[in-house]
Amino acid sequence: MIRRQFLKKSLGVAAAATAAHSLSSCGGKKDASGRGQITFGSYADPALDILKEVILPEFEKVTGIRTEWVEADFSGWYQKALNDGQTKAGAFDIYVMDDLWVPRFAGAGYLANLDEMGFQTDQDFVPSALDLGYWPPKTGLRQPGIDPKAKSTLYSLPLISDVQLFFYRNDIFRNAAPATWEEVLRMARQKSDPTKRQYGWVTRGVKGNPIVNSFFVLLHDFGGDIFGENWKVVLNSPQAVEALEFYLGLLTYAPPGVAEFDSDQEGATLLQGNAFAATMWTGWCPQTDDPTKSRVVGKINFDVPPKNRNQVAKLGLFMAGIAASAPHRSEALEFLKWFSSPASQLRFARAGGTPFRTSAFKDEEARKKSRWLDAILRALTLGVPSPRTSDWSKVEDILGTELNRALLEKGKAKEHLDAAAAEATAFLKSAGYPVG
Amino acid sequence: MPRLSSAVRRRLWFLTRLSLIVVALIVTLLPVYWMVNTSFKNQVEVFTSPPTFWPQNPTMDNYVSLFVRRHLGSYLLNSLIIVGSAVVLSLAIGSLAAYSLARFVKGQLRESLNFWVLAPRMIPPVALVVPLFLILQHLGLINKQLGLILVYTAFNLPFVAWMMRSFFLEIPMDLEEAAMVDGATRLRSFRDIVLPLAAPGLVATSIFALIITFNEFFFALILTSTPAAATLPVGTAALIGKTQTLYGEMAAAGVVAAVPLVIFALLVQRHLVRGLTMGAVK
Amino acid sequence: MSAPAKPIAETLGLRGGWRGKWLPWALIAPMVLFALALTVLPLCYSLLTSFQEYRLGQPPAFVGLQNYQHLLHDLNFRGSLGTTLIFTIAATGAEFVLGLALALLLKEEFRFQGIIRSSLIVPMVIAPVVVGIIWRLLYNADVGLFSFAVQALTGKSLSVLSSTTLALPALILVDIWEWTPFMFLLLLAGIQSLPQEPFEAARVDGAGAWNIFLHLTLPMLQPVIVVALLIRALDAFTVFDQVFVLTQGGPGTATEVATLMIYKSAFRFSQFGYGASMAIALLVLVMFFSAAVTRAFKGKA
Repeated sequence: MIRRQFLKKSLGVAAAATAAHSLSSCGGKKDASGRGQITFGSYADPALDILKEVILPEFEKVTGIRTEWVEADFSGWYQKALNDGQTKAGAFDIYVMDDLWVPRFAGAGYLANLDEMGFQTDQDFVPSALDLGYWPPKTGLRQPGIDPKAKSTLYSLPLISDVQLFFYRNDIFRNAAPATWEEVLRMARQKSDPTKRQYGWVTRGVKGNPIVNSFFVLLHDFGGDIFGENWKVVLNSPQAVEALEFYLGLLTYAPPGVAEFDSDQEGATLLQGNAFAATMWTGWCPQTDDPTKSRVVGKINFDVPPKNRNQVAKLGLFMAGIAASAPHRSEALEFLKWFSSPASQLRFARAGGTPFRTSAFKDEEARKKSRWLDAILRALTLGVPSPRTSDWSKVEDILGTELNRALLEKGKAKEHLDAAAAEATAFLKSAGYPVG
Repeated sequence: MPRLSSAVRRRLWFLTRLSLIVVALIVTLLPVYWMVNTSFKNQVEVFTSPPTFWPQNPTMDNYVSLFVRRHLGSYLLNSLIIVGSAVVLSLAIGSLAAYSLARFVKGQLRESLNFWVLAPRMIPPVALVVPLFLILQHLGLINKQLGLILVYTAFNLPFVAWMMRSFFLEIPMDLEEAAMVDGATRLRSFRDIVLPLAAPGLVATSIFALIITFNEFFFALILTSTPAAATLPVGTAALIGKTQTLYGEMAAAGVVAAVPLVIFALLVQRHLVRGLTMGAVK
Repeated sequence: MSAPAKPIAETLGLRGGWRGKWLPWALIAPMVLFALALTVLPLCYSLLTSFQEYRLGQPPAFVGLQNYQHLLHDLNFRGSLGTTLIFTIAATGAEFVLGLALALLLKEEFRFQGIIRSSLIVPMVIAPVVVGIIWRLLYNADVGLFSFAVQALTGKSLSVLSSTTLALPALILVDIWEWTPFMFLLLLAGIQSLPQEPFEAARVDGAGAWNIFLHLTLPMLQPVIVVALLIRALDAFTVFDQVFVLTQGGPGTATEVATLMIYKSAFRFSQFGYGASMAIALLVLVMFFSAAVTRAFKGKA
């Protein structure tokens, strides 16, 4: 008898849950003033905290538009956003994107055209950051299927101006940031001591996007590139091989297991005081001075990456675009206008965020709060983004696998780059690129 | 070599057995301990070398942050409601089907039944997730608890039907026949005689269904979004950021998620073994 | 097999005319409905997708068997199938042996058995993504407990996840840790439900423990073993979370399992059609494998 009661009760709970749920979904998404609620979809990252916790509440207060923030892990959100765009589900108003998603999202029609909606840009926007929001790309190659003469259109705006900075220990590099990569190598050679867990260099070595992003700076600095004229794969150019050899040389001074490190382990190594330098995303800057996360408070400085031939920094911005299927387009546009206004950008910078207006970068109060803002602005002007094609992630996967192999074998740079170039070429050919 | 006396041998065997059990416990529980240990550390201590077996500056920050900033309470509640409902629903539907399979199916079909009942488990979830999204979207059930309840029910059914069928096969038919001769309908005899007898089986089956769906991530990720419907694994995975992973909070979330299941397992573990003993495995 | 269940309908004659005739179907209908709507229908959609190709900004185009032809020549996919197979066989095999050993050790009544048995099943209740993160910490070459222990014992540092030879075994070890409890529970229940008489008879005849195990326990346990192996193997075939969190398929392609390739094709490279064709191919292979296993054991069971 007791068992039967239990079963009945459980069924009752299930029924009640279902009923409660259908009641709660009657509420709808408009508040009393008739303004819609904007739903943001995003990947999670501590770099977004100021936006979520300071800026959005202020936006709600000023405009009366309520906001909802939905987040998932990085690949989880990519999958959800892709799905939402592909099915026109309309679950989100604003997509937060990695800048390398813009070609796919804009190209496949997942994003609303901001030019058409009347969004105005101006000279104060940092040009290299703003450019990433356009599709087709303003400069450079255009992938097959994209009209070479089509006008570049604004589809998204920078949300957080992320770029890889050169993080270095100011108690090791005493005078200033090393000006050249040679200097970084020399210091690593002199002062590395694995028995005391002191490593000259740390990087992201895990296959795929992480290792490609960390190698990217050296590749370009040494004069190499990914694609040449007409999408010809130039991954195995002499300059690229030289860059990889240098990178592998630097990595002899990296901690054991660096081939499995992603961003989190790279950051932890630096913040534990075990590495002299690394090129890392700006999201790590505030953490270097937080004693619950860092053992080297005040000992880390930031600069643009050193130079060998052709100084560059790797861009990796958080972008924001309005979904083509957004149920609250005008409210979403209002957010982008409000957020990109000089006053909001200044407020954002002073609260500790990374803006994308030059004027906000140059504000004294903001610079006092975030001592890395100057380095970020300089890095943005040197910035190079991932290639602007929707097929980049596949090429990145191919390159990343071979780089990871070279790292494991501590050599054979040419061999692995040849293999990557061959595989990438075969892939591009099958995808309709004019190669081979 | 002289034969050891049987008392000594028994003693030796006892000690061997004891030490093997201790080793198994250590291997099993050490990573679990590490999770608990990590959940009380701040980020700087998580990566300390040498690793610390006991938090040097124990902190509750990870737990506080989970509930205050990351809506873990909502996720937990969603998980309990969704998984609880799905388990009950799949037990109800699956038991009826299992009863039918146990009592009415015969011959050749019966032989291949095991295979076909398990076949849905062979499908890689990646192949189902996008079409499922479209179906639920059509029904207006995206980001609704009910949507995930239905999907999890479908997900559990093969396993539930398979286990319950073997429990029903164990129950002698004379009892039912007697009741039916006395004038009870079949459904009534199912309810009054078969179900109570199969109760331990229901408990065992519900544990497995519970564990499998409580930790399901892939469908939940795509089919739910907000704290209104998203489940614990989704909320937990969101602690892996683009560039940074919050290890302490991640471990704390693991502890929070495991506690209800461990308590449940402790409460019913006797039923579990007894339940499985009755059927399932014969 | 238990007592042959002669269909009760036959014994009794069907009561209540149409109700009796339709009852078996009515009982099974809800389950079939669920399976049709939420499994078969989506699967058909995937099958359809597998004949399509998606190009940026264009509607999906039907390309016939082209994706499958690609598949036949895709060395990476073939490699990932091999990796998946090794993973499945090694993990399932080890879990079986360890689970059986634990079940034999713990089959008799003893003090604290409740708490010990419950403790042993804790790993399988922890969310896989957390399991991945915890093991990533343990395996960390610089500060991980595992590496620390290895260094203390051998004096050498060991980075398991970045070793082409050790990364796959390391993932298998995590799977073994997580899922041996499942085997243990099923087999324990199976052993406890065996009838006692044959064992007593054998002992009276003076058979040794090893002989009893080999010639009585194992054969009598066979149906349980087959089912336990099958369930675990099916799950191991579609392993994803731990690989994704721990290695991303690296180093090189040493741990690139099939589901990871499918996932990356469909959701990272937006090759929806190709991803679907891989999923279908994997499904067919798994069904083939399971049918073979079931058939091989059926004669003996």
